[in-house]
Amino acid sequence: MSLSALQRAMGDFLVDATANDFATQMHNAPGLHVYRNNYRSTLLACIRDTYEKCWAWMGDDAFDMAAHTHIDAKPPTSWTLDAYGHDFPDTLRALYPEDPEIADMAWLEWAMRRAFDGADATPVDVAQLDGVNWEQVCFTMIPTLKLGDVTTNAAALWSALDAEETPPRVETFPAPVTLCVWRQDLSPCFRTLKTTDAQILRMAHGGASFGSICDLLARQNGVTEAANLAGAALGQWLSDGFIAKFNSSF
Amino acid sequence: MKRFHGFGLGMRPPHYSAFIAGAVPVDFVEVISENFMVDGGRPLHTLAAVRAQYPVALHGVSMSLGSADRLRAEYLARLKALADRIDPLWVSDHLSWTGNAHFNAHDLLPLPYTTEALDVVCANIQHVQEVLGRALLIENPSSYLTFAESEMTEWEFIAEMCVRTGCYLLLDVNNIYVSACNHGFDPCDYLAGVPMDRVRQIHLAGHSQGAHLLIDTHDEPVPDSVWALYGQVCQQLGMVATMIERDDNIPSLDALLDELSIARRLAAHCLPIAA
Repeated sequence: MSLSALQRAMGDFLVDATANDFATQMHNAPGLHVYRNNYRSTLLACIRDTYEKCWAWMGDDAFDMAAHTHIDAKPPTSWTLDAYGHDFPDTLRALYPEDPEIADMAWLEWAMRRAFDGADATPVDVAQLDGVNWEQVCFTMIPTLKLGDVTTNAAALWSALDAEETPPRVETFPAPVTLCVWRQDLSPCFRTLKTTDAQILRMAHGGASFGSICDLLARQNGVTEAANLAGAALGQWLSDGFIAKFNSSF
Repeated sequence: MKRFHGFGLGMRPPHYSAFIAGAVPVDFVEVISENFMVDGGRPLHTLAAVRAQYPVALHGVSMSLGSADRLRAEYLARLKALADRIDPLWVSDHLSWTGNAHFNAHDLLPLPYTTEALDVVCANIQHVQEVLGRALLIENPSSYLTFAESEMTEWEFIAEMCVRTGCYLLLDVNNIYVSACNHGFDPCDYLAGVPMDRVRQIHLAGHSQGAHLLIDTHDEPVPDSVWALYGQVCQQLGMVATMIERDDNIPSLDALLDELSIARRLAAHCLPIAA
């Protein structure tokens, strides 16, 4: 057997717990099962580590069942174990459609994990505001900033679990709510956004100019209130360290 | 490459703060490369702080040198960036495969010791050495399987690999012991067969007894059987950079330093026979 064929056969044996051609070929050597156990236990440990609040929320049995379902369906492909489980929230959403807080919390945990070791960037500071053309300027946001919608109070559940406090009752929102996740200095953090704040942060993140954001706010709220809202949002983005660079929109 | 860099420890998360403070009396620190092959954030901040205090060796677990498929370009690019950033004592990885182009087991899987596998491993080592611009240290594996296809012993494979590629060796004494017990060879034959003049680092670790096999768990102190084999290695090698590798059931730093003291005493006591 060629090296390539041997490695494919052993890979199939590891991934599929019901595939035993390779074991037969290897005369059921006991060592085969050491490698199969190592494979599954490594992936289970990885998922438990990445989604530790979901694990705490769901309990060992339900969480491990979901993890094993995921491991069966999604063999790892990346060179780094850190990438494994990026789609575990989808597995949880499919397994627990009546408990949407689980997948919401999983999304939050994944986003925070990626913010933890995401690319560095130095946020602009107030001294760099001089000379900015506010009509034309658009923004490069820090690379760890991510926005995502949830339909439950998963953020409050996460915070309670993190503080080892009794979690609140699960709430399902009438409309999706946006969370933003980023890294400030060396620590991942998150914040729940109001509807308008989410809308304009998404615009800014997508490359819209500050002028176009102000125009939208003016159409929705009138010119005076738009100025207040835009100024408050910009102040918050600067305070949170979201903005990595000012760019001209032309 | 200098032969002796003293006695070190593998740096694990519970002890990061002590290493950052430079409060651990070791000569070098070994880190798992992949833990720091990230875009940014705390891991690189931690490594930079540790590097300011200690020489650092990079030890990888995902290079997959025995893969019949091509090595992953992104992996090598990230490893090179990390090596350029911290100027390590050396870069090491294992004589094993972890996956192919479409799959990664995230485990150190065994190779058949065939001429085809030797060609693959040597070509991959040469490629990595060209990309990194430095010679690699390759660690002998522990294993739980042998293959009917094998045409040579592991030590014959390693000896030829060193001749063809100019790589150095990271000799894991526990791995020799575990594989010797699991596959029924004499560790003395292994030590006589590997090119000792290529060894630049030694790993010491513990193992566990499984149902049928010894398992390379790294979750126990170094046992007497491994210390005894280390003594034999020191008699053949003299002073070579040595470290305790503990990956699970991590004890206090004091406990690890006590083990390292045993290694220092043994190495000093077991002078090379030819010296």
